[in-house]
Amino acid sequence: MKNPAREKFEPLLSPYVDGELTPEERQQVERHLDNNPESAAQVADFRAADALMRHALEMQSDDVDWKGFTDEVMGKLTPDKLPFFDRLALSLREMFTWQRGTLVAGFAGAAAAVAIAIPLTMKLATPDGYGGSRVRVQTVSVTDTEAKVKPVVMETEGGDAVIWVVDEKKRPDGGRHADEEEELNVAPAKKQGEL
Amino acid sequence: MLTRLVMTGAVLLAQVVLADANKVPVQADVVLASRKPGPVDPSLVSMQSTLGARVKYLSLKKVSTQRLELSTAPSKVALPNAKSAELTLVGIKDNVAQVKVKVPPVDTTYSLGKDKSLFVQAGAHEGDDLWVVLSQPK
Repeated sequence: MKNPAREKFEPLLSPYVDGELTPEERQQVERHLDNNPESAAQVADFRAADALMRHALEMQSDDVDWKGFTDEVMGKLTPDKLPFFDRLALSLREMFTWQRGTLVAGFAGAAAAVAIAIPLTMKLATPDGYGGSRVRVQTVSVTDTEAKVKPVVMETEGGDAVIWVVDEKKRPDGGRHADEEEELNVAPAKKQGEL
Repeated sequence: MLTRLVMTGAVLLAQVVLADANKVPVQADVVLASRKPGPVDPSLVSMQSTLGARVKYLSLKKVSTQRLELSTAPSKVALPNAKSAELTLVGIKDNVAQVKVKVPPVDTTYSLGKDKSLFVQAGAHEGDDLWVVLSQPK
């Protein structure tokens, strides 16, 4: 005797076992299986066959040596290595195509670094003006002719120099300020002239 | 846009750095020295010793300190006696800078020495002596 419901659902049983049905179809099939032991038995048969097949495949796979499988597959996928200049050209083309902004910014940064580094290096190489080992007074003069003073230059042993401005009346006649000590290394400077 | 800004900044910075190339830094201290007993600024003990060859100052006080970047344009140092000292870079030869110092009424030209100082008497102030001390900045 024909069972119309079974006839309708029979084509769906195998996809049901394989998990290929939509949730709605799956619910309909499950309702059908609850009321139809013949279809339920068929589903059980399908599952048993699946289990047997899986078990057989697993046993087969245990016998296979998988060592180097990945390398073998990748070796088949990877094309032969291109010549160096072709690879370089390809890399540059890809960089200019996909990373143009980054490249331009990089070049600009490098140019800026060079623009700063060159003058900085020049500055570091520039003398600072302190190459002398001691201070040397080259000229000393009195600009105010009415000033009755006279410059006296003293260069110390330590390399410093002192310019005293003394009352002309006291020099060079030997007159000294009461607090003045014995003068050491003191040379009276020429007025309005070079030493 | 960003690239242009970076480049402009770099060029401006380079110009600033190059502009400084012909300047010589000098520290200018104005010191009030007195023969009356008083405190001596610890940083001026060596000055007291140097000047002691001629005058025994018992008190030394730093009135001002400034760092100048000497160039061919005159730099001024104000003195408390309403006068001012004027420093001008004459030139640099063999890494030795020549500097002209005007401390009325005396004009001096001298060459700088590494870690050395020039002491120039700069007149009187309130009965004591003013000194301008020019040295390499620390």
